[in-house]
Amino acid sequence: MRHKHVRMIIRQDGSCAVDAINFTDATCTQATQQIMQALAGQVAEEQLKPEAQRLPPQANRQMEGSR
Amino acid sequence: MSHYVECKPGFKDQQALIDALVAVGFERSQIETHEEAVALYGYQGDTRPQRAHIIIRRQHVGQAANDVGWERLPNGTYRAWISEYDGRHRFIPEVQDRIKQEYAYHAVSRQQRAMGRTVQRRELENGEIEVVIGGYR
Repeated sequence: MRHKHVRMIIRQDGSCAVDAINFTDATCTQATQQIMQALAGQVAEEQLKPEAQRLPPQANRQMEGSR
Repeated sequence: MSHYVECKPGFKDQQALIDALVAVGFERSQIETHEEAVALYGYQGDTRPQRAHIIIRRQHVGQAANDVGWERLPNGTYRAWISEYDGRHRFIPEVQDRIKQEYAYHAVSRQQRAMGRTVQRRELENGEIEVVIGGYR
């Protein structure tokens, strides 16, 4: 899934992990904050992280060629 | 860029809490809702000191059960009133956790659908619920 989306895992004890994925800007924080509002919960952990770098097809071909 | 958050939900959305109680097996008609908190009754019909806004009366909870209720606090969240007896019978910790799990799904689902987003739910083999929300611009 390459488009912007939020993946949430609700564990058996009701605790939640919310991950905003494929966002290109700070709206990822807004997306998770909206969900936090719905959950009315206390945040236990928070991370803002750059996504894994995606190489363009040309770079992939070069990497394959160098093997 | 992605943003990752871990949290423990609190009950705040009345309808989501009702949906969660229905999801764990109660009928909607068995769940009372009150604007003002009303008294809970014990298994012998005795009035308990606790009051609640959302109530399942003892006859729907089980034999020798007490009323179970959720009281809305001044900060808008609900706290559960579950007797020790019922916590060992119909409302064992696993059931209480299941209510929290269903609540989290229904609270987020209701909010996000109201915002025009798509919400997909999938039960995982380990008992977790995966929710994927789409429709972001």
